[in-house]
Amino acid sequence: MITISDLSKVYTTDTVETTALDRLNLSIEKGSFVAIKGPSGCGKSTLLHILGLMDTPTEGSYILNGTKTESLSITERDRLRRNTIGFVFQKFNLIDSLSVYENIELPLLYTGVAASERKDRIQKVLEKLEIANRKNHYPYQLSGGQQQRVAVARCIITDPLLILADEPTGNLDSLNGEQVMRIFQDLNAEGRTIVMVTHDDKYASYAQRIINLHDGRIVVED
Amino acid sequence: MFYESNALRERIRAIPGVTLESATNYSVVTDRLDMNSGYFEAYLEMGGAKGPQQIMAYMVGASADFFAKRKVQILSGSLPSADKMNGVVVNQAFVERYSPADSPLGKTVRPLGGEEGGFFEIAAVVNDAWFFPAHIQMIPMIYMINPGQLQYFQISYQPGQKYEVWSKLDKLFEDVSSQGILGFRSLDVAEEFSLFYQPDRVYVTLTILFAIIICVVSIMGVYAVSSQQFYRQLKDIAIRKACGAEFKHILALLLKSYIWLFCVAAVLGFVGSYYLSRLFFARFAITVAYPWWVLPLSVIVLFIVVFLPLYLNSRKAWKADPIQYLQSE
Repeated sequence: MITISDLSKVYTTDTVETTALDRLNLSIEKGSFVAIKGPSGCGKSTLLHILGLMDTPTEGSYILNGTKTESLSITERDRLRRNTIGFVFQKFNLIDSLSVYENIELPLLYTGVAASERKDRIQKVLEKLEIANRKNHYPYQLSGGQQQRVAVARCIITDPLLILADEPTGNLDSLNGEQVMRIFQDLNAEGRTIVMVTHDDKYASYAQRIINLHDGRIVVED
Repeated sequence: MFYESNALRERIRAIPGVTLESATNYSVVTDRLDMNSGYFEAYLEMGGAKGPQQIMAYMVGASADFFAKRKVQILSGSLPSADKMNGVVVNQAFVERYSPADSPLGKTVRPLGGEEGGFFEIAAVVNDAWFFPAHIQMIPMIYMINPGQLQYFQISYQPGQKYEVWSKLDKLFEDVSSQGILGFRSLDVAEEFSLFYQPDRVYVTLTILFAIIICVVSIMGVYAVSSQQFYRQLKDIAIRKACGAEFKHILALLLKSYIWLFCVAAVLGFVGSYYLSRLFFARFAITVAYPWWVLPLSVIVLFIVVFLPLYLNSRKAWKADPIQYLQSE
């Protein structure tokens, strides 16, 4: 599913060069659930953004589902991301001016799914995540746990092969955190590949594989 | 002594290169030209079904062939015959002002305080003719045919023959003048009109310049406003990018907010400019129709003013790094 080779990311300012990822090699199999751990600034979010085609590496290669990503144009990256990847963020990143329904609908609009099919798919995912009664609410009317479930619903609505989660439990209490992790487990059981960044060992333990990053390098792999 | 004007006109027509010749007792150019002599304001009394009506018109003399030669259309009636010395011709502006409801043909016109029995009779109505600079409102005119004092000759000549024709005309008039009959001077109407319209051309140039400045300022204004909106929406745009939005989706997002601005500006602009231009051009006797491409051009300009800044801002937002707006840490 994912193969990265000698991947580096260096941030350069006028005076300083900061290496976020240092010649990283990593392979993630389709259908696996991987947690990336490490201290703040170790490069785990940078890695996730590169995996999500939101950022580009300074060096190295990244092959996603058989597609070499280095030579892709911005539009091609947008399309590959739209058709292959779903994101879940720590801060939920829902659009405040859109209702729950509209937030979930967003990726489908960009994919060009017909209105009737959109309605069916959204209804199913709302029921699956137990937020059907909230579909007309706005994000600010929801609790943190509910917002994260909406974010997960938006993430999976296009049935992506790869789910990238950046500290998905970081803003949730333990009860809601557990719920979200169980949802991820279910999604993984359905065959989706999940890569999750977390600080928390408890949530990392849900993954089948844990990668520890330090100073942009993989130091331990469980 | 009196020099027979028809003989002089024959000699003018005989000059090689002269294509048209007509004669009036007024100058075809005004203002800085010889406007004080020639036509004159006349206060008159016109008879009609509702009794006499006081009117004011410009009375000018013209040769009988003047209208045909200068392609001034006869709208009704017919030119008075040579033996009908009191027959006159009025223009459309005269009719619109003084006889809008009924035909003026056959009505009599006499000078206020004039001699008993002396009157003119309206024999024909002609189109308003452009003998004056176009920005001067068309005035009611009464043409007296063959008034006996044709002192202005309007001479057209073949292109490129100006110097040959003018030198022969100079010789002709010197010859006539040497008999002590006429003083003369000649004016190139095209040149005089060109001089006359020089301030207008400056005005047009300035108008175009200001129109360009307005377009540029408008583009900058829309750019600034949409930049502000983009700045506020950068997080939304970053989220949409994470959801797979392409450039066209970001552009569509912005267009949706500005389509009303475009529609309102288009409707107000087109209706307003149409109405105002109609109002403005109503002052003129002769107006030139808009070329067909003016409307599409204005739509294109409006489109550019509204959508160019949006396009530029959309590209800027699309290329902006979304990570900083999505980051957790």
